[in-house]
Amino acid sequence: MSLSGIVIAVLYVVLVCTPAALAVFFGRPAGDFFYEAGRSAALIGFTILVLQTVLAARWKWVSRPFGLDIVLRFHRNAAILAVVLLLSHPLLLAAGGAGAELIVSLDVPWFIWLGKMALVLLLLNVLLSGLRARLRVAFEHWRFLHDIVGPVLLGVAFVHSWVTGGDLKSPVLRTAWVVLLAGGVTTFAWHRLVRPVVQRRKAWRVTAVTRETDDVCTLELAPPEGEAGPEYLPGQFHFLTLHRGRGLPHEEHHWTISSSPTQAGRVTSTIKAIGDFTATIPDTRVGDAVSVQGAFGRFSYQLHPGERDLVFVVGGIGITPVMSMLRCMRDRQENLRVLLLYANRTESAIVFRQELEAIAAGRYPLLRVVHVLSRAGEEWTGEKGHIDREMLERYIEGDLSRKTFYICGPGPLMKATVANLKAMGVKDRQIRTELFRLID
Amino acid sequence: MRETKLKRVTAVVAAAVLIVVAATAYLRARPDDAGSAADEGRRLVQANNCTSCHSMETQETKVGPGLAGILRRGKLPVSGREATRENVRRQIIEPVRVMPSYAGRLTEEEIEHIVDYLETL
Repeated sequence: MSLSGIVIAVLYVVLVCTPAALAVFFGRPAGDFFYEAGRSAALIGFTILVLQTVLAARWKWVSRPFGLDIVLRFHRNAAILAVVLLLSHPLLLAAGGAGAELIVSLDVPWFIWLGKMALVLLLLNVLLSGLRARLRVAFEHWRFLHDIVGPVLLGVAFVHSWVTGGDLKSPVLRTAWVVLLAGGVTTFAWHRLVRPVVQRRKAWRVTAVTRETDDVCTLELAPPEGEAGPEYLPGQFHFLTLHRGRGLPHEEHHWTISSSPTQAGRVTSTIKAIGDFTATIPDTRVGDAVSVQGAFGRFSYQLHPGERDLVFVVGGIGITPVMSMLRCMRDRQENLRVLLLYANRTESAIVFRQELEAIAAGRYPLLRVVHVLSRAGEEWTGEKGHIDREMLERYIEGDLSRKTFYICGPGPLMKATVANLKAMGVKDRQIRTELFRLID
Repeated sequence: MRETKLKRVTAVVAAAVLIVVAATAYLRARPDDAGSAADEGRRLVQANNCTSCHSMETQETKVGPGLAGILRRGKLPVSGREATRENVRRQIIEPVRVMPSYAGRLTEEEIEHIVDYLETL
């Protein structure tokens, strides 16, 4: 991990533990070990919940050392940790002398009921997030619920702790608690309410819509007049919200930037129709407004300048970050050796085929392309089937320890390729992936 | 790989948090003096959920008045009676206003222990 990553991780631990540490000096002990553990668990658990807003806010200084995909996965892991702590809170209090009545009795004061309600809301939020795909809840519906339940849960938990928390009678802890909640509320409001409005005012425009294959389209976007647009690395992704009107859905999605940063004044995203929303991409018109937020991600060869021998193992629309990287290598005339193993179902599904052949025919980079089709027609003379260990060993030449592997594609391809590479002796640090599904 | 690093970071953060929970609990836990009447009184206060309605740390009202320094005040806050051990005992058995009575729920000895504890606040 980089130094900045270590600093952020340590800062996170310090922040979540600070209220419990302050309680040691400024709070008022009230019970035995278990009772006090229950109080500390609540102080830390609530702080974790507030800091979830920071983890989800896509701040560059937080995501840059780790990649936004990893930060959002940690957001999920932190939620589970908060659940463990906050479920432990009443159990430890009960074990420490408050008694089981605290949990089972219906005859408890209203602020205890608030605490129970906060726990129910937390469990609901976490379960809905974890089971979203299995319950077939659309992403936008899930996010709407998440954006409502999260702040309500924080508010209910805050009132519960404010009224019943003995430690929060201390002015120091009260101040810290208010500052904490204010920070969380401000961060949430900025991320979900203010920033979308700002981005809408600085909307980009669609300048071209190009059909690449039957179900893949490229959108070309230009920044507002007089602006250059943010810089990005080849292989990164951004969030787009298409403001098309015409009865078309209005949702925010993240897609890889398929253009190269060498192509100034415009960016492209190449999008496959895999769901209800992406099926409407071809209905986008030149001139439509687009809110753009980005770029994010660490899936870029430019973050590792010493690596000169690259292997890309790609499936389907996973070609997009690789295409951005190859275009950049071509335009910058970078003397890199690149093997691209590119899996698709059929020949007609291959995206950027001609451009890949042109790059391979050129001098920069030294590119070899191997197409692999799982449902090849009879006329196909290239590789058939799936990219397995035998195929990797056949095409990857030279010293494995000097190569870097970038893998991008459907989950089964990524999982199998990582397993195969490790079985071949490739080290973890040589393998680079990015989690395309940010929350599942 | 990055997912492996994520698992390690998560495990380290979780371990750090659990250590802090245990350490702060250890530092703050009141010493266990089994022979102390006041400690028995504290246990009874917790077991009977008195803290649901009364703060033990301040004089601020929750549902009932805060009990910090209750026996050092001139008068009891709700009944207005003189703040003596006997009047506190009377409030527990024959409360004025909305406080439930603990007559029959606590023995005389237990009530004495509770008053011993309240005297330490």
